[in-house]
Amino acid sequence: MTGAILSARNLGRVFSVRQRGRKQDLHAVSDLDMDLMPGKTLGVVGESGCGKTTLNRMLLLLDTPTTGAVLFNGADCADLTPEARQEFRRAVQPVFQNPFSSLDPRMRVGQIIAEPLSTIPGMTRQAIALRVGEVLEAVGLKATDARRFPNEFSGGQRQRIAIARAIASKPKVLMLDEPVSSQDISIRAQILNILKDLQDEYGLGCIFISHDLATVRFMADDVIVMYLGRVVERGTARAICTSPSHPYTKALLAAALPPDPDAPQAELPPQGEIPSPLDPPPGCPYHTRCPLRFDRCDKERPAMHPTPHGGAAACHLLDPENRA
Amino acid sequence: MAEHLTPPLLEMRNVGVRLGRDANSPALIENIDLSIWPGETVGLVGESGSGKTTLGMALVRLLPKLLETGLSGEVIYEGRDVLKMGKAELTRIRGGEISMILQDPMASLNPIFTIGNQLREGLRLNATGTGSLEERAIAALESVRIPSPKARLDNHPHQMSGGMRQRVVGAIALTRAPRLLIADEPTTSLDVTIQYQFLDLLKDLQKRAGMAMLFITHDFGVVARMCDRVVVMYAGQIVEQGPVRDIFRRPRHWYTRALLDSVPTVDYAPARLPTIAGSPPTVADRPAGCRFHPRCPNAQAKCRVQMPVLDQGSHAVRCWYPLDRERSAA
Repeated sequence: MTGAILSARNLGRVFSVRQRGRKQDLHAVSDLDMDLMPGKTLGVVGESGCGKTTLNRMLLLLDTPTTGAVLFNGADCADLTPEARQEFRRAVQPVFQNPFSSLDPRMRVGQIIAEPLSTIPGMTRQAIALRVGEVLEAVGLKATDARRFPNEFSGGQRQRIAIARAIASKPKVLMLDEPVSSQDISIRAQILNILKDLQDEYGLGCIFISHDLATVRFMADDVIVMYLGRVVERGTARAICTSPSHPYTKALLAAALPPDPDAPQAELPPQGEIPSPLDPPPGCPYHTRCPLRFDRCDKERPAMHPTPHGGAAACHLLDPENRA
Repeated sequence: MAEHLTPPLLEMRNVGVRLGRDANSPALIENIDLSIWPGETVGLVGESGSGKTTLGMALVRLLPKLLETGLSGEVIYEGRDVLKMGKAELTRIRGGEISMILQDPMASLNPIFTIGNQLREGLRLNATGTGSLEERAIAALESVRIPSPKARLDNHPHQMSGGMRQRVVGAIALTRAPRLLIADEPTTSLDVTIQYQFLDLLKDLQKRAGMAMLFITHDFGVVARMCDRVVVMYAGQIVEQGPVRDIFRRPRHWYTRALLDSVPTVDYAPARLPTIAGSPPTVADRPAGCRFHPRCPNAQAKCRVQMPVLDQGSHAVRCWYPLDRERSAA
């Protein structure tokens, strides 16, 4: 896709692990393609072990892909010059799940937020102080909070500080890895609103990683669903959350329990456990848990087939040849 | 609660937990009046620090020493006050008649013993079972839908997945056919598809055993699926309680209403989520008057000075100016 600010092409990451003295390959991410358009939010949905954190690390250039490439404005990140790499670091900023471990307890809030600014050449102390106050106010804190330490703030306020740090260098992309999972419910909505406001105001692109389809529906324009390191479905947030095509997406949707005691029973409730990524099943990775599996599923890995709402899903049931 | 014909299984009367014996020390929870009837599931919802876990622990007297000395009120179980029981009687009740499942299964299981070993320990205390311990341990694992249970008996906890471990904890909790199960965020550490299956299993086991359940959670989706009645806590007090449909359709407390409104759903994406300003107060600086008034959109002069009481009836609320309108579905 042209115009994408951050993309992955055929991205893969294999870890070598030793289990009972035997060397084994763990395919954390395989054949992953994605595009993030400027100002848009791409939701990445999946459960533990699906590879979403590995994907996040590769997109942040904190980990090197085994195969494929990460593209920033169309250029392969493996070939970046040191200067261009610095530019990338300013343009792509992470916000992590736990603001208790992501903020240094011995630094003042102002120092924490100013740290990414120190790499910008020609920025004066005054300009930095001004910017720190600006971003603190943008996330609903006071400019004077810069003098305080992280331990003086609640969990929700700390996550605001982490967001303020992320936007300080005027990035183009925010990488949000479960940013509200550790927050209380009354705080979650506040943080999600701030993120959405900032996105509108600064035209930020966001990668929003989550296991919760409801928050993804609120935040994302497009969604990819991951299972055992592979994308199993992609589509608009609306399509994924209301009329999913892949049986796994349907199971995830059923498991996103609606806050309504009269909600109808799920069409395809989830069953079984996630197989070990060290020993992924042959054929379709989901066939061991799929209530709709048939003889083709454990032999052949399904290709991505178009879905009714303009997305695509890796399921043999969507293969036109299969209708015969 | 007039509609119940049978007496409650357990009744908490004016229970409070303070930080120590001193009457002026801050209270983690106070004025707790709560009844649980046989066979019903009561959802206890609240944010962190609201006192829901303290309440659950107070029920079975598993509080840390300092809090144990600050425990007051009455917990009537089968005509006897749990707070006045001696050690022997408490031991008989805990794990036998009242059992618990906690959030982290690894905190409940001993990592150096096999799960067969840990299951048999509970089974040995149960005089009612028939068959060998081994057979009963296998049956217990079967009841929580663990595949190839015989082979699993020799596994250590670390050899199982999180969902599997939590099911083992469930099996152990249910070995002595408890009449009340306290489940404190039992699915928070599980993946969503595993959570779904575990909740299904719990519901099924509950129906078969006819036990009551106190389900502590912060997740309204879980409450909607599991509970018959809901108790909402805020800053150490019960602020609302009632039948699950009433709580979701016609919440009377402004906090409950605002909390429900702020939960995103998969069905639609609003431009912004409704929020509650500020954050819950800590134990040390809870405000005077109504605990919620600094964050309440409808706070009036009276709310700032006088603490409201929980009114009577099947749908009770602690508010001077409660809401009285339907909450639209979307």
